[in-house]
Amino acid sequence: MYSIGVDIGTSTTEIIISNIRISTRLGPSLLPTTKIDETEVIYRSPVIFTPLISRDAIDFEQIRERVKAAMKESGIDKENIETGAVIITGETARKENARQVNIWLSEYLGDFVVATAGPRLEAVLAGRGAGISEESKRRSRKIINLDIGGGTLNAALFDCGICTDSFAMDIGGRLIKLDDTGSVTYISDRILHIITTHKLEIRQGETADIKVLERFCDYLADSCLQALGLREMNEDTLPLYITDFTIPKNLDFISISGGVGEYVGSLKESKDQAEWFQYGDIGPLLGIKITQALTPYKSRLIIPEEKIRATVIGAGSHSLSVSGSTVGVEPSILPMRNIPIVKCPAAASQWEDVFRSTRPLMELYEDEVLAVSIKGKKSPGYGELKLLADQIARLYEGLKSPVIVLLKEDFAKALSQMIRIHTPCSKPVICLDQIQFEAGDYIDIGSPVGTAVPVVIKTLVYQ
Amino acid sequence: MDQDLVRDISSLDLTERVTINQPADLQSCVNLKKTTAARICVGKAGTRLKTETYLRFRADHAVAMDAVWSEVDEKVVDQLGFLKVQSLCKNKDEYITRPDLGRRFSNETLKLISENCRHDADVQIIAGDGLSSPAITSNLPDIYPMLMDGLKEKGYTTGDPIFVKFARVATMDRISEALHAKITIILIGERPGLATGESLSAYMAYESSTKKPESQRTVVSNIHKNGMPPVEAGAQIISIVDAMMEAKTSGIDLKL
Repeated sequence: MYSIGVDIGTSTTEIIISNIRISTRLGPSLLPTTKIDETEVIYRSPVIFTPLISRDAIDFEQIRERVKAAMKESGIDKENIETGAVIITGETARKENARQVNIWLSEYLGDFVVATAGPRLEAVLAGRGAGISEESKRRSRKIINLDIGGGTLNAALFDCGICTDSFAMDIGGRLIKLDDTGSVTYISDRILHIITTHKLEIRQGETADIKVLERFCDYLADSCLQALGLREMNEDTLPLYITDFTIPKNLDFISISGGVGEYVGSLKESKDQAEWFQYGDIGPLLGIKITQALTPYKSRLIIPEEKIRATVIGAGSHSLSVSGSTVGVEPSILPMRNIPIVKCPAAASQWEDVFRSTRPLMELYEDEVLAVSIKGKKSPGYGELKLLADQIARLYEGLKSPVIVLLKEDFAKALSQMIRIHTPCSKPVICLDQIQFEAGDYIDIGSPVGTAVPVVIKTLVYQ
Repeated sequence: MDQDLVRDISSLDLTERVTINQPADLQSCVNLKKTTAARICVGKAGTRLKTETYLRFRADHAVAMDAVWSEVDEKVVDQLGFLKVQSLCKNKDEYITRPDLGRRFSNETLKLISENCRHDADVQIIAGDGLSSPAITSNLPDIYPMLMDGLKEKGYTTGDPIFVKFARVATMDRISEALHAKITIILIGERPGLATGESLSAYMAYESSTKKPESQRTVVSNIHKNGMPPVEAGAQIISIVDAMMEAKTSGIDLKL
C-alpha cells in the first residue's frame, strides 16, 4: 500500500511517497498473522522553502501545486494512497491558516491521511524517520534524537526501539533570518529573551556582527546540551521548552537530524563564512556550534541515516502500524478517524474499578465516538474476562459511541466475543490488541488488511 | 527449619535473569534474553555450567517429563460435563510405545460413545491428554466456555463433549465416524518442551475421517498462558469454524 508524508516545516516543505509492504504469514500459533514487512521510500520531492504569503500565513496555493506536482512526478495515482501523515510543524503550525491547509490536504489525499500531529508525535516520527528507533533496537541502547528544523527542536528518546520520552523546544535555524547583505530581516519572538538578557546586538533591519550571531548560536547550542543533561540547566533555557520535559538520564548516544542536523558532525563543518549564511538564516552556523559544543562527547554522537528528511519519512513511512491478528472488528463502521483515546487508569489487577475510574473521564469529552485503552494481563481467565466485559459494557451504556477497546496484550477477539454474548450491550464492538497507545491521544482505525487492522496513533495540534 | 529450606529453583523468572559474572554490558544481555526462551547469558564455572543453570535445566526437564507421565485432574473434566472414555492403551507405558493403540477404541467404548452422545451435531468437541496432562488441566476451564459461548452465538449445534484418556490426535477421526458431526475439534496436550509443559493444540477437521490424510486438519497451537491465551484461542477457533462451514473443507484445502 502507498503512504504519503507531507511535512510543512518552519523553513522547508517536503513530500515523500513510500510503499509499505504488508504480508500475511503463519505466526507462532500457526495462525495467519499480518505484519508490516518493509517500507521503501519510492519518491522524494525536492526540499523547498515553505511558501509564505506573509509572516502569519502559509501560501496555500503553492502548497497545493507542490502536492499535485509530487503526485504527478511520482506516477502514483492519488486514489491509491491509502495512508500517511501531513505534518505542519514548528512555527508554521502557529500560522493563521495552518488549519485550513491541513483540512484541504486531508480531503485531497483521502480519508485515511492523518491531518495533524503535535510536537511529541512529531518528535517520535522524526526519530523513526531518522532511523534512530531501529538503531537503538539494533544496539540495545538508549539513544536520543534531536530533530532540529527551522523553528523547533523535537526530541525523542528511544530505549531498545521503544520511545520512552519526548519533548520539544524553540530551538531552530530560522529563528533569525538575514538577507543577502547580512541585514537581519526576522527575529522570532520566542528567543527575544536570550537577546535581551545577554545584551546581544541583534536588531531587525540592522546588520548583525558575525561574532554576535556566533555567540547567540553558542547559547542555543548550550541549551541543547542542558536539555541533554550534559550541562547544568540554566534559567534562559527553561522558557524555550514548548512541552513538559524531563532531563534524560544515562544516555548512550545522541543523534541530530533535521535541517540543522545536516551541519552536525565533521563532514559539512566549514570555515567558509559565506556558506554559513547561504540560506539567509543561522541554520548552518547553529549546526556548527552544536558540533563544537558536542566535541567532548564525540564518541557518543551518531550520524543518522536521514537528516533533513527525517520528519517527512517518519510521517510517510512510520506513522502506520497494524493491530494483532486476532481482533474483534465491525468492518461496516470502518474506517473511523480522529477517535479520542480515553486511558483507563485502573491497573490490570483491578478491573473491577474500570467503570468507576473511567466513566467520569469519558464524560469530559464532547466527541460522539470514544475509544478506551485498558491495561491488560497477559492471559486473563474466562471469569476475569467476563468481569472486564461487564465493566466495559457499563462504560458505554447510554453513550452514542460504538464500543472501541484498545489493548496491548493479545486477547481482543475474546473480549469482543464476551462483550457481545455476556453483556446487555447491543452496540457494534471493536476490540484491537497489540496496540502501543501511550504516545497518542487519538486513533485512526482503517478497514481490515489481511487478518489485522491498520491504525495510526496520533496527537492533534488544534483543539 | 525454614532456614534449611532452599527456594524452589524452578520458581525463578528467567526472562530477565543474567548470571554472567561481571557482564560488560548487562542491559544488552537483558534485552537479548527478552527475545528468546533459550538459556543464554548464563555464564559458566570453568568449562561447565553453573550449578544454578544446571539444576534449573534438570528441573525444567523434569516438568516436561512430569507433564507426559502425569494424569489429567478428572475434577476439571467432570465439572465441565465431559463424557470420559479411554483409548485402547491400558497405561502410560503402552501409550508412549504404541501410538497405533492411542488412535483407536474398543467396540464397547465406541458403543458407549454412540449411545450416550448426540449424533449429527454441527460441532463436536473432544479433549485429550495427549503428551501433556497439565495442558488440559490448566487451559480447558478457560478455552471450553469460550468455545461454547461462541458456537451458541453463531447458532451451531454442539455434540456432548468427550474426554479421551491416552489420546492421540487421530482419535478424533474415530469419534467423527461414530457421531457424524460436521466439524470435530480435539483439544490435546502438546509434547512438552523446556519452555512450557502446558501447551495445548486444537486440531480441527471438516467431516474428520480415518480415510483422509493428516492434511485434512487445521491446527491452532501454542495455546497457554505465555503463548496464545486460551480465551483468545477459543474466540479465534470460532472464526475458523465459520470458515470451515462456509468452505465445507479443512486443513490445507482451507484458505484462512
